Amino acid sequence: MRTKRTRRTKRTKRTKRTKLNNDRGSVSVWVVIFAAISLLMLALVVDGGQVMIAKTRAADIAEQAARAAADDINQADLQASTPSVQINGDACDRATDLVSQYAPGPRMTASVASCVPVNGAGDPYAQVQVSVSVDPLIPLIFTGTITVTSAPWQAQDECGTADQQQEC
Amino acid sequence: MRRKLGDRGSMAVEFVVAAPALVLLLLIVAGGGQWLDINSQVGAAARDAVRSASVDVDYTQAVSDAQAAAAADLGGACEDGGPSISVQPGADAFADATNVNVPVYIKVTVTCVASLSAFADVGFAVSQTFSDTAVAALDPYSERSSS
Repeated sequence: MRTKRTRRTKRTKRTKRTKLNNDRGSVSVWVVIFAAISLLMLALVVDGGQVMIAKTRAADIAEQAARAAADDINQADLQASTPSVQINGDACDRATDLVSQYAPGPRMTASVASCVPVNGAGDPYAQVQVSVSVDPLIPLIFTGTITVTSAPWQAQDECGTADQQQEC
Repeated sequence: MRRKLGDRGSMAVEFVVAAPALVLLLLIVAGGGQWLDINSQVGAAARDAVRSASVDVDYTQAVSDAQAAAAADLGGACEDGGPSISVQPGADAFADATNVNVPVYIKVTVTCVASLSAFADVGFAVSQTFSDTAVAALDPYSERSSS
């Protein structure tokens, strides 16, 4: 079979491509397939990893943003004859201010997704969620901007806890 | 005799040529994973460092706590004796951050020069500088000192 094939190609002097019935160039096909798969793997590793990084980043920023918002305590209520701790209505400005200092990060931007100062029964707290958007480095598997949002984080000022109020 | 062999072995010869390229592709995938891992560790270290610095009442302590937190997170990943940090603002602004109406933020930048071991293992070093900054608010109700 093999000798027959070579004889035929010799006879036609390999003028036609269809007659080039041999193994030449078959490795380059493999190389192309392998390269394509490797590139997809690289895209998955790098951009999939970026998404995971964005999740921890969003959670950490939300934690700090909630702390910043919880520090914005109403002074009049704190200095009243019966002092109480109330978080100001505009406390979320501080959360936004802090988050804006993180943005833009390395290929990521951060923004406040939700922010609520809670002054109900019990100790007041601020609750913040932060979104982080990632632009994929190799846009093959993840093509557009991916946005991940943290879980809601709550923080209260130490002044806001019942046992610490005397010191504030 | 030799002519009758035809194309036999040509695949092997081509493979010898292609193999280094294939290995390089795999290295790039592994290196990409490592780059990402260190990047993520540096970011996490910066955020841990700022968190631990922001609760301190003493500036010198804040700087050393930030350094300790970053070094603990990064372990031996950084060359040149571990990660380097910078803390802003300076000692005086840190101590004076007690105006309840004006929030003061503390900013910690962690810088780490790391070698990607995927490349180092096959004989050539690829070193890169990784850096990230994290910010936290200083509690204006805490009393602080600059020392």
